[in-house]
Amino acid sequence: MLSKKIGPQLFINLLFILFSIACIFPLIAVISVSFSSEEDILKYGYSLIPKSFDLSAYAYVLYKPLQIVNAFKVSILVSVIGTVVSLLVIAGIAYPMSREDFKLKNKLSFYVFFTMLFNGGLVPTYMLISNYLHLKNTIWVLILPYLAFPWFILILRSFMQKIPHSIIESCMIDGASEFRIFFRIILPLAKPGLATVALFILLQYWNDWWLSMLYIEKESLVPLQFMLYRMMNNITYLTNASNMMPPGMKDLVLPSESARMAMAILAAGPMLAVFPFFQKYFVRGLTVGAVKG
Amino acid sequence: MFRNVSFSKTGIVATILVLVLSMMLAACGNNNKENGSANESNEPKETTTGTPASTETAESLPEVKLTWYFPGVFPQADQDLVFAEVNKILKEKINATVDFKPFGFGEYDQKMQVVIASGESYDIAFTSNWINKYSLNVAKGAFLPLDDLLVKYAPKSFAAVPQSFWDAARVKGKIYGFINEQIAARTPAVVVSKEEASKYNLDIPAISGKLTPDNLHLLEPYIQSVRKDFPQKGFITSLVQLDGLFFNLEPIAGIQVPGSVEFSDSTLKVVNQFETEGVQKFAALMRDWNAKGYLNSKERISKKSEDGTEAKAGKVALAIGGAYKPGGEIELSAEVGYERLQLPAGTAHLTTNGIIATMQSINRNSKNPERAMMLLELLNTDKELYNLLSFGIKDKHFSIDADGFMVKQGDEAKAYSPDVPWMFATNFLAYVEKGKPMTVWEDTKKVNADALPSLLLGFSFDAEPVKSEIGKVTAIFDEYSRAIELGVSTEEKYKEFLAKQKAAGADKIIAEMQKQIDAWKATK
Repeated sequence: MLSKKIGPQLFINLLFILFSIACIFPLIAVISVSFSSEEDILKYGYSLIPKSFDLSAYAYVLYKPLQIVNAFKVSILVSVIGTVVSLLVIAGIAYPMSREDFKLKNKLSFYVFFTMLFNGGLVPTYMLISNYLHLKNTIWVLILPYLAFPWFILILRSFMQKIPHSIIESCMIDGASEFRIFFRIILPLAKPGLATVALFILLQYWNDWWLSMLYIEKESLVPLQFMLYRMMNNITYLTNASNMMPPGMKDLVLPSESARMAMAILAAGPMLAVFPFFQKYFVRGLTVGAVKG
Repeated sequence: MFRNVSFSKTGIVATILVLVLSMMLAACGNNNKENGSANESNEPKETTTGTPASTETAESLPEVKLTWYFPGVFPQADQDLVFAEVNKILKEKINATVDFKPFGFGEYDQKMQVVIASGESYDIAFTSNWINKYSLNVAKGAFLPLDDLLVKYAPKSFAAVPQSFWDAARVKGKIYGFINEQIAARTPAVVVSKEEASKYNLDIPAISGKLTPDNLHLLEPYIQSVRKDFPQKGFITSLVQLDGLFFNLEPIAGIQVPGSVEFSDSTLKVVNQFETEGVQKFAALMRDWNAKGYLNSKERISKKSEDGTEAKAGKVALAIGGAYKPGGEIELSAEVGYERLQLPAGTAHLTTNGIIATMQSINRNSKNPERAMMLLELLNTDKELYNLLSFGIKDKHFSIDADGFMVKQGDEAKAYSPDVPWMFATNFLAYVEKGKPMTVWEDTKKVNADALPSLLLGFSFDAEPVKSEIGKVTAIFDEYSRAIELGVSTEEKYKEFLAKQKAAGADKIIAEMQKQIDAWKATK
C-alpha cells in the first residue's frame, strides 16, 4: 500500500519543489546581484553567488540615508493611514450593499459597478485633483484617490452577503442600533474578508508610484516606490535616447546594476515580511468571496 | 455580480443620453477654448507696457511668479538651495521669481502630457525633438508663437543665435521655441583608447572626418592588431548610433523608419535608407567582420541596444557612435577611467534635429509671456546666473582656478550636478571645465558654422497620417536591426527585412514624406 502511494506523491512534491525554486530563484538572484561589485557584473554577468562580497551598492543607495528614511516614512504613513481609512470606507459601502432589506441596494451596486467600467480618464482626473481640489503636493493626494476601490467593495460585499440576515434581525430585536450592529457584529464576523481586502489595499498603497509621479513635486513627500521607479526609468531613458540627446549626456554617473537591485530589495522587503501574517486569512477570505461572487 | 444590478430600458437610454451629451459639451468647451486662444494669439500680442524691455527697471515691473518645467538628472540634493539663490538674483534684476519644476528624464514626457492637456497656466517648458516633442506640441497648439516677443524682450539672444537656427524652429512661418545654442552640427564620433591608438598605429589623419561605408574596411588592420593582444576587444557600433549621418543620409523620422534624403540631393528625393548602397555595404562588411570574430556578436546580441557598459568593461577596440563635439573626449575619458580619443567619423552636417534638440517654449496659457521671455533673455546673457543654475554655487559646488577653468568640488559637486547645461540656456556661457581647451566654445561655434547645412533645414515631419505604419516598421526594425548590425544575418534575411518593411507600408510612409517635403519646398 505504502509503496504504491510514494510514486505519485514524490512526483507531486517534486513538482512543487521545482515550482518553489522557480519562484525563489529570481529573488535570490536579485539579492546576490545587490551584493556583487559592478566590475564582476560587467565581466562575468549575473551569478547566483556573488564572486566577491561587496557592499558598495548599499553604500551608494544609503549615501544620503535621510532621503531613503524619509521615503520609507512616507510610504509607511501612506500605507497605514490609507489601509485603515480605506478599509472603513469600503466596509461602509459594502455592508449596505449586502443587506437584502436596503432599498437603494441595486442603485448603489450599479453606481459602484459603473465606476469600474467608466472613469473620467487621466486628464480630467488630473484637472480635478490639481486645479479644483488643490491636492497637489500634499500627503492626501497619495491616499484619497484609492480610498474606495470598486473591485474590493464587490469582494467584500459578496463576503458579507454570506452572513445570515437572521443575525442582524435578532440584533435589531434586542434593540441594537445600525451602527452598533455594523461595528460590533458585522465587522468582527467579516474579519477574514476584511483581512484579505486589507492586504490588497496595503499592496495597492505600498506599490503605488503613479499618484506620486503625477501629483508630487516636493521631495519630502516622495514615497519609496516612486524613488525606485524614477531611478530605473531615468536609466532606461538615458540609455535608449542618448543618441537623440545633445552630446555630453554620457558622462553622467548612473547608479550601477547592483545599486538598482539593492534599491529593489529595500522596496520589496517590508511586504515580503508582512505577507505571511496575512496568509491564513487570505485563503479563507478570498475563496469564500470567489465562490459566492 | 450582475444579479443585483437591474437595467431598466429607460435607465439605459437615459445614461447613454447623459454620457453623449456630456461628451459633446466637453468637446464643444474645448473647441471654443482653443479657438478663442488661437484667435487671440494670431493678433500681435499687445503688452501692458509697450516700451522696450531694456528701458525698464526692476522697480517699474510688477512682481510676478513664473513656473518653469524642465528635465534633467533630478532631484539633486542641493537643488532648493541653488534655486533660492537664483531667485534672489531674478528678484533683483527683473522683479520675478521662478517656481522651478525639475523632473527626471524618465518622467518628464508623461508629466508634460498631462500638464499641457489640463491647460495649466505654467509659463516655460523645455521642448525638443526627443523629449516633450516640439512638433507634436506645436500642432496641438500648446505653445505661444515667439516672433514678436523675441524682438521686443530678447533682442540680444535673438541676434546672437544664427538666423538659420531660428528658421529650423519655424512651423508654418512662426517660431515656437527659444533655441539654446549648443553643438548643433552632428556627426558620429569614432572613439578609441588613446594608449592603444598610439601603440598600434591608428592612422588618425586617414580616418578623421573621412569614414564612409566604402572605406570602413580601412579600420580592419587596426582592430586586428588590437585583438591580437586583447582578444576580448572588438568593434562596437549600431545602426541607431550611426544615425543615417554616417551614410550621408538625413533620416526624416529617425533611422528606424524608412525615408531619408541624401544630403547632396538638391531635388530632395526621399529614399528608403535600407535600400541604399551604403547601408547594404555596411551590412555586408558586418557579416564579414562577424565571421572573423571582430564584433563579439554572441555576447552583444542579448542586449537590445548599446549602453556603454562594453567600454567600462574594457571590451572596445574601436567604437563609432554618439555625436562628435569639441572637448568631448574629456567626458568620455571620465566615463571609463582611461584616456580616450574622439574623432569625427564623417562630415559634420547641420540638421533641423541637431538644432531643435534643446529649446524653451512659452505656454499658450501663460499669464506673463513677456516676463517669461525676459527671464530667457537674462539666462542667455547673464553668465553668472546661467552657471549658477547649471553647476551650482561658486566656491561651494565648483570653483574657478587661477587660469579661469572650472573645477568641480568632489562630493560637494555631487550634491548639485544636473548635468544639463545645454538645457537651461545657451551652452556657450558655461565656464570651461578643467581639462577642456579654453577655446572649446569658439571651437564648437566653428564646427557649427563649418558644418554643411542640410537642405531640409526648417522642415519637420508630421507623422500623424502614417502613425500606424510607422509603428509597424519600427517593430520590424527592432526585430532585424540587431542581427544586421552584428552581422549574424544573411543576405536573404536582409532581403526579407526589406520585403517585410514594404508589406508594413514603407512605401506609403515614403510617399507621405515626399508629399510633405514638396509642399514645404513650395512655400519657400
